[in-house]
Amino acid sequence: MIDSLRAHGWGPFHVHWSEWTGQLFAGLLRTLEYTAVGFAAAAVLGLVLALMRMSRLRLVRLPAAIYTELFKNIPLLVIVFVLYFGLPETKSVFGDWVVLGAFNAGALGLAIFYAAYLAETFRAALSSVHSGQREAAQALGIGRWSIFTHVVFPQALRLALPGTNTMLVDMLKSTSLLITITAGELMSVGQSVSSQTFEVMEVYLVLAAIYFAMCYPLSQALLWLERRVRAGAALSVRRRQRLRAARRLLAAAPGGGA
Amino acid sequence: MTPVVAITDLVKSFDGRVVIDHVDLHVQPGTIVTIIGQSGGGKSTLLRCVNLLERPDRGTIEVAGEPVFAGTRVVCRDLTRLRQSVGMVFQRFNLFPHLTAVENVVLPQMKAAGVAAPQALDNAVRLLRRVHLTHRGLAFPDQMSGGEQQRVAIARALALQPKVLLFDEPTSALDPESTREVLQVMRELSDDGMTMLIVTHEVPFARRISDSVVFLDSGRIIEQGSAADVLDRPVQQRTRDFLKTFADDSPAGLEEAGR
Amino acid sequence: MRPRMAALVAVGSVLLAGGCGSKDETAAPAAGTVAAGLDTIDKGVVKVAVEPYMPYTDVKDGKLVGLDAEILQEAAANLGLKVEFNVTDFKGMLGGVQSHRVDLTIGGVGWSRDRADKGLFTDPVYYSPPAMAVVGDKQYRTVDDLVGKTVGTVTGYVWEKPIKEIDGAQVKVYQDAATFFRDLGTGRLDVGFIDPLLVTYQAQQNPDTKFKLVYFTPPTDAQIAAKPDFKDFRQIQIAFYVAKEAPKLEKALDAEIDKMYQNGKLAAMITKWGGDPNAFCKPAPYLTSLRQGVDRPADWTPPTI
Repeated sequence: MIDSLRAHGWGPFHVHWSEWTGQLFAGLLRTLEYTAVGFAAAAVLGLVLALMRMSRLRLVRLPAAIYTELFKNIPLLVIVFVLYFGLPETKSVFGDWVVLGAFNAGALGLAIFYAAYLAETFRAALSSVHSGQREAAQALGIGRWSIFTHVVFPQALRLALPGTNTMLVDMLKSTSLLITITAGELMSVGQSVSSQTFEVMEVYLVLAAIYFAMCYPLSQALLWLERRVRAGAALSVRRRQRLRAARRLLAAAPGGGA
Repeated sequence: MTPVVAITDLVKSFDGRVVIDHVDLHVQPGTIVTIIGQSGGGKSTLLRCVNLLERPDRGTIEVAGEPVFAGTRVVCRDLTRLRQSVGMVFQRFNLFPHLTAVENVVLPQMKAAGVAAPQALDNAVRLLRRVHLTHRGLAFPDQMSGGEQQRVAIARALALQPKVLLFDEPTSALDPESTREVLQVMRELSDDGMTMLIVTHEVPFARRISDSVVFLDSGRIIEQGSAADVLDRPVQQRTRDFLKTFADDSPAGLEEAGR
Repeated sequence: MRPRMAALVAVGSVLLAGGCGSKDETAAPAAGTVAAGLDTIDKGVVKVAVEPYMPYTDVKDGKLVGLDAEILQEAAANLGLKVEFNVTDFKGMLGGVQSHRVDLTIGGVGWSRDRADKGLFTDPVYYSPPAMAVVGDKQYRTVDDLVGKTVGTVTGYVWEKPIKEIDGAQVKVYQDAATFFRDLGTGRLDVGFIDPLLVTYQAQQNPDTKFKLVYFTPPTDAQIAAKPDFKDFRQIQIAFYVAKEAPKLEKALDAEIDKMYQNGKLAAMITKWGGDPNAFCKPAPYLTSLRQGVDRPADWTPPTI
């Protein structure tokens, strides 16, 4: 064992980690890219599905219900394999465009999978907004779109945030599965280091540490966001300005207290 | 004078059960009309037909002379304008919880009436002053008492300069102290000439505020007239039976509200 | 270098196949004196880890088959050793030797410095010429032809390092040979590095196969001086990878292997499995010095026909 320590790396590390920092960083960036694109797409798709499931028309509700039930019960890896390895087999029928690149297949797979879960989260949140809210807004003559964006959505957002944040961190970790489709993200780099240095424990412990260093701050930041939203803090510049103006006017106004 | 609200021969059923049974009701400008009766007697439904939150089956509704419902169809051409001219205050306040009090009053102005932000803000502050709540303008609904919330709700309902205010059980969810606050504000509004149509099952409250009272039971108007007539000298037996349940309830707080 | 053609669909990167073990009945246990003196895990038995990788190794009807398998079986018979094999994947094979769960592993295992640090290599059983797998009639000859192309290989193979050094190349590393070939077929890969006999074997089995083997002109010394990792683009010596704890076994195998070069048995096996003995049984000049002073004495020369 002492022999292993000699002439290799520093301290207890056997791997010359300094050689790999470039590749590791590139892998880390790729992981973040997959997460960002995948999550944006999943959120949009999830919202659309949630709204569809709340529609009055059965014709609109049914496809959305089928989608969510389907993709909540199929593993992410299977979806990714079908997109990356399966689709090209239909090239003769659908044309060359079904041969998706690793990034497209990976991001799409992540989006399809997580949209199903986000749809459920969003639907629960939207349904939880009290019907009295809509009524009050209607009684004030506010239009349907404005009711959604200014009354229903902000309230649904605070209810949906905790679940959504969990999904985001989960997706970041799930990008590691994309190693199977040559995605070149962090896990792929880790495997490369491990297979070339024959160090397994050390490499994957380091990898775990890197994933932790990405996910933990992220989840803490999202928690902070949740708290801010719950406290009704102004998130947009315009609202902050309006509140500042309001504060001035109210301070100047006589006739408080009754 | 043209009644602010004119309801003629209105009929509405839910699942085969008749909740509004050929009701006629006229609300003269500047008056306070209170509809009393048992819970589930059709009072709220009647109120909500005025701004078309509920769709009646048959009858006629006119608001400030403009036709809203006729025959069996909605004939109101501009639903938004109708709802701006009819303000509504709810039993559970229904304030927007993610917005501060002042923002609650600003939002409808900006989104329903297209008023620019600075103007809307000015109006909002003025209205909050009217309900004596400028010192709570930046509070959120969950930080306010029931009475404060309902007063903000009233300010919000006034934001679009309605011709009539509808109140659906406005004090039923409030303690006596808050009820007193709200009553005070409503009195002041009335003194300023606001027309109000109130639905409540709290008779003492009705006694304090109304010009005329309508007793609705099982969808039919049993008795209507001036507050003194209906509440102190009811003619109909059913009215008397209903009022008897309140005979022993004279919450001291409400009696003193006149002071 | 490790060419491997997995017959199974990849199911995930961290799937370490537990493997199944069985006995190979082709090795006849002879009088046990030689075998008894060897430092195998069990006396008289040699335990080998393999991966399904035709035509180098595979298991058919409970028996080990393939080029490397036959070489081992010949040597084992002469040494009086019974062959016991267990099936795993590439990572499992090398790992099994390094952790001494098996005596050795065979099947296109290329000599490399890193691997030699953690195990023992026999003398080369054959030499694998530098070659690439392409689809259709693509003509790539040198490293320069690969600039800017999409190049792939399988995780852990010796080419994993050098392809990352090719200028502007898009690198794709696969979990196994099956997915590697699939992407080559659909055009997501321009060219792939894998053990050459895999491609010739596929062509034998399926004459309509679109995969072609292209022999590669190795990089010049100047190119290797500029990019040291390019050295793995040259001819690679394939050997058996033996556990550090079994030096006697390794020496015994060396003797047997050298014999096979001399008595023509190796050339016959190479030919049988689709290789040309002139390419596979003769070491390139630079190979001579590679192992001297590393895991071979300074006067060692690689065997040849």
